[in-house]
Amino acid sequence: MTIANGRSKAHRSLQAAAPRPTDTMPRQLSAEELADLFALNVAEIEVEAARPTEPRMSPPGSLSAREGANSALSGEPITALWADQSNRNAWVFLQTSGWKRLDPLTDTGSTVLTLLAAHARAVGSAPYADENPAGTLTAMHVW
Amino acid sequence: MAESEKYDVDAIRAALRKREVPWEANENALTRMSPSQRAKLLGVPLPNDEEQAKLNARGKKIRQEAARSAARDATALPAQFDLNDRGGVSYVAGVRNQLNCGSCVAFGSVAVLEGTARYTRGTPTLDVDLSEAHLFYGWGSTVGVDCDTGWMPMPALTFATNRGITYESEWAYSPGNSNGGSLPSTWEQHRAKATATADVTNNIQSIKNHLTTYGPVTGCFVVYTDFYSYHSGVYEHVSGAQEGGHCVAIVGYDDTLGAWIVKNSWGTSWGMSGFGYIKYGEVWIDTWSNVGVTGVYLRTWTAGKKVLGAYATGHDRNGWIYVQDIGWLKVGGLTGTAHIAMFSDLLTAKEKSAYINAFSDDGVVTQSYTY
Repeated sequence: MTIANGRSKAHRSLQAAAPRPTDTMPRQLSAEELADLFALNVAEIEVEAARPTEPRMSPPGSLSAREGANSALSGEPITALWADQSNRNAWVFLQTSGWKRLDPLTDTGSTVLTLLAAHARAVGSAPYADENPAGTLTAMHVW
Repeated sequence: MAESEKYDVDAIRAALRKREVPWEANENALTRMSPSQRAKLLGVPLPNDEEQAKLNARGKKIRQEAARSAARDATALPAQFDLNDRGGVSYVAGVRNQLNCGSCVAFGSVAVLEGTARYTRGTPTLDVDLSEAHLFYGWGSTVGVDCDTGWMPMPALTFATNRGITYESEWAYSPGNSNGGSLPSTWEQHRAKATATADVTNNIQSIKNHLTTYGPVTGCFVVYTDFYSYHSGVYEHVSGAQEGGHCVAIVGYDDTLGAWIVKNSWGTSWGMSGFGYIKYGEVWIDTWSNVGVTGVYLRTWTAGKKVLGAYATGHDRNGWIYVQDIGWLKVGGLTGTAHIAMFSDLLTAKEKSAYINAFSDDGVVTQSYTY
């Protein structure tokens, strides 16, 4: 928490988020506002809202495959990896689509995606990945 | 039939020819038995006359509807569906033999569990050989069931749902439990458990929906004398008396033949290598007791298998592995560190094409060896 003018940033956000007598409906709080209110990380707030997805793909080419890959990105090998010292800031370079960030939703999620991407790079397997509108990779199958 | 009377396959063939009914009779292991030995194989007690009349009326209605819908209306279901042959692959392989004990309900129920376990995972080679002995001599005996009393599918599959049953390797089947098998105290670490039962009795559409969505259902029916000699074609009762009640697993259907595809538990000399066709609405096959399950949890070691795929999202501890013959398993972990440790080990196995042995607790890996 940053301190300015003797008041914490959280406290100032709290003021902004607090209901007012003139409100005519409940205040819609963003994840950031909720995080400030409850002194949590944004990621922790979002974890509650978003249900984890499960794998649905069958091994490519298997006779029993009932659902094809509906992944947004496929067939592009990972040709580079990037990470820095800040938390959950791992990226991969897909051969055609370029740099994509691995979902920073949670510590374990970011770590497991990083391990999976590194594995895909090591074995030369092009992943089947989903990305959100911001271009972040939110799920990845690697065969 | 008198005990000394020989089973007359020729007479049955003559009756079939006379009625021009499209199935073939043949000698087999059952036709060579004595009448009392055959009677022993029937493990479902026949209902009273009033109930029989009701079942007969239901069957008649189904036969009439089936005859009318020769021109199929456009439903989402295919005209043919066979779990024993999905593009050359079977989810219900392995015909068993109950031998001389009226344990058919256990065999039909286990066929439902095994077929559903494989089909819902999309893994036809999943190793899931479950213990009919546990279901029949274990759970069945707690409610007074034995080789002579018979049983019904709903209570059997309810035990499988609420309590679970172990694998064949823990308690192997023998007629009358003559091998003296019993339940090991550690059985709950090696067991299957159904998610819920589904009663689709007397509803053709529901039976077909269940087959195509989840897997097999049971089918109990009245056995007439001619049924023992069924060899191929679409069975309907032509000759002989009521012998008793029996239970099989329905594993598919064929609208062009107007028949259910069934998996029996009388060995491979009966029918088409142990399978057969029974006409829609015949002998109460679709009106008496059709029960399935909606899924099967498995708690077991994977044994030596390879990791073929992996999956992850940004959510907390949501790493998964795809194990050869088994399908997707979620990697567990009481802490994030534990999850990452197991996931990392299993990913290494994938990279090296090495064998793993992981403990799957109802689909979640809680321990893993990587070699």
